[in-house]
Amino acid sequence: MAAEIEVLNLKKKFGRVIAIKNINLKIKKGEFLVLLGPSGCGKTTTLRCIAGLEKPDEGKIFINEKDVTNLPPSKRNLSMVFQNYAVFPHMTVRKNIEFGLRIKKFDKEEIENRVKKSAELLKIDELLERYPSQLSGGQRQRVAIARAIATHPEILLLDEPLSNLDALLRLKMRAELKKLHRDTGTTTVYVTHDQVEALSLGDRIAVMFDGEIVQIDTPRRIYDFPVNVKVGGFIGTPPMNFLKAVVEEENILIDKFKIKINRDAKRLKAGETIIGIRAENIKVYKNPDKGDLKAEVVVSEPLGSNNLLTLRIGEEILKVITEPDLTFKTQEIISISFNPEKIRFFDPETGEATDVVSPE
Amino acid sequence: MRRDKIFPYLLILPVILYLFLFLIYPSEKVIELAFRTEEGNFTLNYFFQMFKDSRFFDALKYTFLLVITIVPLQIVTAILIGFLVNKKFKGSKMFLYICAIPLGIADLAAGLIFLSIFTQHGYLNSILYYLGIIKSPLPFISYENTHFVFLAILLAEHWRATAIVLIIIVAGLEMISKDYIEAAEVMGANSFQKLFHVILPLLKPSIQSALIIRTIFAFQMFAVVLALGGDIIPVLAGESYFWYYLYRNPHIASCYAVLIIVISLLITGFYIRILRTRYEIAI
Amino acid sequence: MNLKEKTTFYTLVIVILLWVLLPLFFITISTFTPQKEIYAWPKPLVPSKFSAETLLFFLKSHGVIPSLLNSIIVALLTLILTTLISAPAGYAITRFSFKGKDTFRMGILLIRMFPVPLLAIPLAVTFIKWKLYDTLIGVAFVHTAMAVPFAVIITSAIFAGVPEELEEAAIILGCGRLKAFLKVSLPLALPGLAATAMFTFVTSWNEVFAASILTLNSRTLPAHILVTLNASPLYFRFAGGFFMIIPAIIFIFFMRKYLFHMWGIRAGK
Ligand SMILES: Nc1ncnc2c1ncn2[C@@H]1O[C@H](COP(=O)(O)OP(=O)(O)OP(=O)(O)O)[C@@H](O)[C@H]1O
Ligand SMILES: [Mg+2]
Repeated sequence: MAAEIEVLNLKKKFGRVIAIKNINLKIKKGEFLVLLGPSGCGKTTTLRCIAGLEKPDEGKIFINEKDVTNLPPSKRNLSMVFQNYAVFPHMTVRKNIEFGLRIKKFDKEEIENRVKKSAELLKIDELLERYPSQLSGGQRQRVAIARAIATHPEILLLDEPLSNLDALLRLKMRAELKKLHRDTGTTTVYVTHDQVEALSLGDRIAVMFDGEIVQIDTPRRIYDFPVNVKVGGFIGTPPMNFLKAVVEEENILIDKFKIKINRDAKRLKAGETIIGIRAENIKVYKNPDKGDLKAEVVVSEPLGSNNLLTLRIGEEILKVITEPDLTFKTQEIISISFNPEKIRFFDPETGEATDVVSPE
Repeated sequence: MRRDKIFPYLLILPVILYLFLFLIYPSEKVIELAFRTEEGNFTLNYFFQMFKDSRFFDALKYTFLLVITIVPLQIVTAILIGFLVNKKFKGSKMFLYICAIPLGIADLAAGLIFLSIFTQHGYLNSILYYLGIIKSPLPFISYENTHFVFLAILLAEHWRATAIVLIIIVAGLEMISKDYIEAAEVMGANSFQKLFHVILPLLKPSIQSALIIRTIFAFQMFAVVLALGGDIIPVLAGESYFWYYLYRNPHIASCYAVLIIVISLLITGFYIRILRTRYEIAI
Repeated sequence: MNLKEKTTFYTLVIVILLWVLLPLFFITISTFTPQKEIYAWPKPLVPSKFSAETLLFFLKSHGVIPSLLNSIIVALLTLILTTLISAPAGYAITRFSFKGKDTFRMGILLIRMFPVPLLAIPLAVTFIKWKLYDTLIGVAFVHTAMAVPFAVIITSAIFAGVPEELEEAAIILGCGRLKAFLKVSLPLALPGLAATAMFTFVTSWNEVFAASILTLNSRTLPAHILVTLNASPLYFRFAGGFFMIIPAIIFIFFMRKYLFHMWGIRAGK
């Protein structure tokens, strides 16, 4: 009941716009893969190519090792949930869910069974006789998902399914989607530009920029070991901090401050570099002489469970997360230390990670 | 939006073929009829005959007079009604629908409707009598009274075709964001300034479109004129009809047709130039 | 609005309503006034009694019923031809992107203003050769040429109102292109398409120039009224006018949601 997908050298242009430069992707049976990237990077186009709604200019798509590149969507045994739900307004909820089953000519009993099951799974069994215009956004969303899973697809494609819901409902649906995936085990490709959603849902995340996948890995590792500055800057709230630095001997030099590192372990070359460090890996001391680096407080924003500090070291700006009960004044001079294990290094020219990433 | 090599062309092909057969082909024929003798030689004789006809210059004069009086009148009326509709009062939708009724009414029917008012046995005479203004009915529509016949035609056509302009204007008004008007209000503009410095300039594209579309159709005016005035007031399309239908001369009828088509094309050309800047709201 | 402004405002609204409705009232009253009273002096503004006399006289007059039927047939033929020809093109414009689309759209917008009825003159000559002269289908052909550009624009606006995603959802659920169109886009576009058909019907029903040039015996109602105009009594003309406006009023009722589509504009909301 689950299929594996392989995408090989996929390319797609719209007139002069290159939507997909070159995509290679292998999705395992039953995996929940998230396609994550900024607006316009080609996520939807990739998904539509897999669905068969868009014909790629070049490249091949395999489902269960079968070349489906030239097959119509109906021959691919997949389902899709659209960003605007695409629930048929002229049919009741029941008719909507039945639609695919009727087209596929299931017998009456089976149709009824499956409608019941998927409606129950999505908790819309009370709404079956209503028309979409009588439903809320969240309910319509459920109908769209119920309709998609009723055909028991081997692959489920979702294009930003939560983007039209309010924040609370989004949180709730996110959890439900995760449970649904656990229950059905269907191979799922999920498109979003929301990195929090991606981190919480994905077995793996494929990060896309400008029509290419730049990194594909587990959420944990994408978070901890971004392959370049762009990925690090896109993922995490707040995103990774980047500082210009110089590697010399056993130290890195930031502004005029020195931090000790184990250079050999990371096989770092001496010279200019960019270091990346996440907000939660920075320790803050009120005492300006306790930490490795001195910094000036620019803003302090209480976020409830903690404080978000914006600091300045020389020319560079840094975001740090602290305990909620530590309070700071603007322009106060404090000191910080980095967790040396968590410092990442990037090439100042290309932005690519230069330190050795520990194996998976 | 889908891309497909040939399918969309198959879908538009019927329109292209059809318009070719019933638009391009007869357009070429009408030119032939106007410029070629029965033997097939080029000639300007039919045009000379048309010019020499005593009614030609009257027809030209009255057509232009009607166009330049009716079209501005329609625009002003439509803007006025448009503003009323735009006030969104209770029943304003209904008001708009009622004002749009003439949209579906034929020019011939409009002529007959106004005939029931302006004929000697019509309602206008009776109303004037009940108001004590006249004692015996006045012959509004007669050869002695061309000014009045002209006025009756003008009122009938104004009544019938304002609805089209109204729809265009209302659509234009809907598209003007209330923000602009409110911004002007905040800056202390009075109603007069709001109208002339904010609303009308923003409405200009709609007004232009309405102006052009009405001008072109007004040159084809025909049935209203015949229904109200018979042949008292000659107009270009009417002459074309008479030459074909009464005098059985397709050549001179074609000359009139060519003249109207050329005028329409000139206005259309003018229209394209304006449209270039406002592609989407093409009316 | 203060009281004075309010009074002015509603006075204006009422004046305009009277301006639109009074002529309609008069023609209706005329049609139901007894024949003698039509010529009475002074004529009562409301007839002494309502009578179907004028109406029956009109319907029984020579040639009226046949021309009425002709009008209906021509309008139906026009409706069918126009829909068959324009709906696919309207669909193509909204759902496909192809080379030359903008040119096509622009061409249609401009052709809409071409004085098509005048082409009846050369076509009358051609139709004699093609054996289409004085036939209803011949008239319908010209009316279709008039209606097609409008219908293409209206249909494309109507299909634009049906999200493409819905059709794609149907395709994903196993439909072919055609089935997806028939099961999803068509039913959703149907009310709009019906309104377009109504528009086409009225366009044909109202057209008089081409209809009178192209026929001799098989006249449509407006052609019949126009040709017999000078020979017929006033009450005949009034009843004729009344008859001609009936579809117009039905038309506005059905078209009211789509009034703005007609001119290729989508209203604000
Ligand atoms: N039908 C189309 N015609 C022309 N260009 C298109 C079409 N579809 C997509 N594009 C272009 O291709 C690029 C990728 O589009 P795509 O919809 O895949 O982005 P996306 O990553 O899904 O963005 P978003 O997060 O905004 O949905 C964009 O530059 C877009 O403008
Ligand atoms: Mg997208």
